[in-house]
Amino acid sequence: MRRGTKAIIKSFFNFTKGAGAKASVGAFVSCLVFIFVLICAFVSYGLWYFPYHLWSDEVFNVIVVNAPDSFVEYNNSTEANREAKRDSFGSLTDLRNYKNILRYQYTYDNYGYSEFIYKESEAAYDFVTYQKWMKNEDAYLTIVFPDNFDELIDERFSDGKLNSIEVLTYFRTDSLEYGNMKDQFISVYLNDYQNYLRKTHNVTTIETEDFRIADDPVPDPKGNNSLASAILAIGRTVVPLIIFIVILFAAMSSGTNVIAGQKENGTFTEIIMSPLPRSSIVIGNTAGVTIKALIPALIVVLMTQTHWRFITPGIFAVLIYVVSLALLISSIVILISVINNNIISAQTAFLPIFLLLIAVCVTCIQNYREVSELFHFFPVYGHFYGIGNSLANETNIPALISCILSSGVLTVAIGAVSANLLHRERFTVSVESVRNSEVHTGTGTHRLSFMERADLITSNIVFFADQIFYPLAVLSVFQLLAVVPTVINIMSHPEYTQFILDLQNVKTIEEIIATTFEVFGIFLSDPLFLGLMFPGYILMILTYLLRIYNREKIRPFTACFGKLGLPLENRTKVIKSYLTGLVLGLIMMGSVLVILIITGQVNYITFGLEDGITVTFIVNLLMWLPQGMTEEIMFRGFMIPRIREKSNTAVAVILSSFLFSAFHSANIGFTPLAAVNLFLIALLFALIYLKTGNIWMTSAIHTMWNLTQGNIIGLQVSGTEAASSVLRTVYGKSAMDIVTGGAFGSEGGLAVTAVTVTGLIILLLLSSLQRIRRKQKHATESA
Amino acid sequence: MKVISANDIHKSYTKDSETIKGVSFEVNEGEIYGLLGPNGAGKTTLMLMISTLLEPTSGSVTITDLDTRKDALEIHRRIGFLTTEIKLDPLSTPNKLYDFFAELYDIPRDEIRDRKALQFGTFGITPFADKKINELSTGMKQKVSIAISLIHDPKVIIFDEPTNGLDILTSKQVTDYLKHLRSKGHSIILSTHIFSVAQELCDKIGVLVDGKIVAEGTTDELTKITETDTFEEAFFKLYVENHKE
Repeated sequence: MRRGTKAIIKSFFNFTKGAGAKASVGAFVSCLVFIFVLICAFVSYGLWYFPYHLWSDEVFNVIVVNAPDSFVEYNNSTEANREAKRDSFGSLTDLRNYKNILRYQYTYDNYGYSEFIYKESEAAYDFVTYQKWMKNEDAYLTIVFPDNFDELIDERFSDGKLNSIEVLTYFRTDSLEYGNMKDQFISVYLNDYQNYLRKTHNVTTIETEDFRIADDPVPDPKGNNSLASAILAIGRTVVPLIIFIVILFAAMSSGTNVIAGQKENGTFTEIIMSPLPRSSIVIGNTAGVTIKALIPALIVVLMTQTHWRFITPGIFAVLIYVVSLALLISSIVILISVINNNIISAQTAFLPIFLLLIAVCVTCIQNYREVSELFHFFPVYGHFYGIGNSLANETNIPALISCILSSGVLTVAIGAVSANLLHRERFTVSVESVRNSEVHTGTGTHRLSFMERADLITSNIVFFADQIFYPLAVLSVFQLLAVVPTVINIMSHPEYTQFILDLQNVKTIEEIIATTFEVFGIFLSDPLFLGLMFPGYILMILTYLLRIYNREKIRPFTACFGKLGLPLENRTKVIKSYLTGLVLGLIMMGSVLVILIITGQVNYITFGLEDGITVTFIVNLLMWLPQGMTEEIMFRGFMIPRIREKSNTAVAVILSSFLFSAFHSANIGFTPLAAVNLFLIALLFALIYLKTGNIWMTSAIHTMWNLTQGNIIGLQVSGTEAASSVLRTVYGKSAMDIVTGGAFGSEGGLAVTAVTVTGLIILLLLSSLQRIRRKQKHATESA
Repeated sequence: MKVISANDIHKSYTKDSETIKGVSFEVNEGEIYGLLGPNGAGKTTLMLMISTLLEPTSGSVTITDLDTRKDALEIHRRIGFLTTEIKLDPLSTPNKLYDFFAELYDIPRDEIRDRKALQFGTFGITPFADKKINELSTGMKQKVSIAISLIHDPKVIIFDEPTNGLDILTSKQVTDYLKHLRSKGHSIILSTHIFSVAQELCDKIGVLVDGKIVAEGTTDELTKITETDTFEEAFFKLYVENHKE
């Protein structure tokens, strides 16, 4: 390897901040969090191994139910032997015997310490009682013999027939240790007991077992009865996901800091002026990023090995998968770093890939049970399933080879593209500045070169990603801030206890996700959450204003309102628009109600406002005001003019409406019809916005629509149940979900479709009427 | 002996306009060649083409008989490209940066230390060699940047606007160093829009107007050709005669 390549790799580990990768504050904080989590994990790992139960309650005893005389005799005969074992081990609580304690840990030769407690019981399957006994007697195992065990054994040895003698065992599951101790007990002690029986009956050569041992774990109230399978499921889902995230994050933070970062601070010109071939620059940086990404990933792998005692041959396959994945992702990051000129644009450009790969992981998790084997042969999918399968020691060698080879080819190809792009002159920093100044002076209409087109596409992707992720980020940050106090508050509520209880019955990952979403729905409709979202929405509007103030440098601050579609100049016009909007919203929702009544969906309507709920009503009222305005800013006032500037009005309207619809898709009870309706509503709002030139009217309609729907008529608003309402509308038994919208609220139903389409038609008619009038006016004026 | 020679190079960024419209010149060993021109004349473009960072649309540049298009890497070993715009990794130190680039330039390991001591001494970098770049003043950064660009002791130095944005003291240091390099037989090509720099340093000056060299020679020759009294007047006359708007 060239010295220069090595130097580049080395620069990644220059901890006094060398010419290579430097970490951003965000990356640094995430690293600290990661290290903290790691320490916690290691501490918990230590606790797992720590034989603490030796110090607290020594659970070694074995309860024997309906013990046959022969077993008691056998126990007495082994007493001396067991005592000797105890003596040789010494006291388990004495730290000076740590070697024996370790030996105890690994051999489970614990029956030396077992004391037998004899009990009588008629009911062989009464595990509730056995569990109680085991708790009281510090026992980990219960052995239940049939009443007439000795007679049955006699019969067995006299006629040689296997007469299905069954010995039941129950063991505790509140520590993984007990399972191993039980296995040891059965395979050693009970086996010896069988040999003892044969010896006393003078039987020597029987190949089959004399009695069958059925061992059942006692269901533990804490619900970890299938710990082993749960661990395997985690190994197939969570572990690969964590490895993906860790690699993606580490690669992104170090990979965008080189090349793109070096272009930003100017070092890259020096590097490209050195006699090092550009392929070496790409190789060096890719290798550096790979190693950086591998460090946390390998720690994760190591943790799975030690924590779950999965030390299997599969580990080598896992390592191969992880290395190849890290190489692939690093090469992608480097390619993006090569195309971009600064860290921020590189990271933004990588974000879609990051999210795409995470989405792939989520699909993998959802389908890991019944996925076609074909997927194991492709990169990314293959890596995900491969890591999971290898952890479970079910490595598919041909799939491994195919996956690694194809991913390797992909890596090399991406690396070659990166090196080739570095050859292009326009990707050096100093050229860029020359170029920009020269291009603008030259006359415009020339055909774009391939690279210029690629550059344009990248910048467009960055732009649209920004349009999508910015509102998402703002919304989730403030929702999260409002959810935290809500969660703390709700912890004292019965719903929370119910949630925890429900979690015990949850077995699959899908169920956990579903339950979590359900609970999140409860949080979202909590009055406290709604109350907190009132300042939350106002802060969101402020965030948008500050973004415009800072990024687009609009001065004075009040002028920023105009840039969000909220012009303040003409006050009377603003008030007029807003009031008109409120009336329109009321009319629209009222028509929905009328349609629902006419079509016979509604059973009855009563007054629903109870005492003490008026507070929630007012909170709701306050919340809908900024809520309507925030959504209008996000999808209309902010998004439409900015997208229109990049492309055209049609794209802006359709894209923003689509996003509006997509954003609501996470709500409960979402259906395809709801998506269509929300799209149509967004279309209507967008057209009103374009017509009026501001979002005052649409904000009012939006607010009034939600308020009327949720808190006056008493229906659900886009899947969110309103807490209190003036009227209470109850659907009849014959109500059809397709008309009423079911759980999502009326926006999921045909009634709203009808109203929205009517609104759209009226709007289009009005504008064409206006156009005709204008033409006439024009004609009369010219005449 | 000629070290750099440009043969009728053209460069166009867009289809309809040419930034460089056929430039030819030669730079000999131990000579400082100055490209003098107003902003936007194409100086930086020309410098980038000489230093292999840009490819000419037509024509060729050879440095010590190597073609910039074919032997870029070998040329990189022989040239040092300096610009006042070069910034350095703000979180690194001069020492670390020097070591890093020494590796990239494949300088023998046992030589790195001595060379660093010598170069840092010449520029007076030694006192702040372990400070972070972002704690240094512009002049200090410039010195570090120059020291790093000259790390491999190149025979040919390409210097874009050598004194741009420097204070009087540092700019004196830089010009003195360039003279010192010339006396050691290095060839230097620099671009500038400052008369005094051109007048004081350059053995030969090419006046660049709108992507063309309109006149070439020593300051005296240029005043003689244009029949003016001072070099400044000569330049203005050349500019007015050749600039088309």
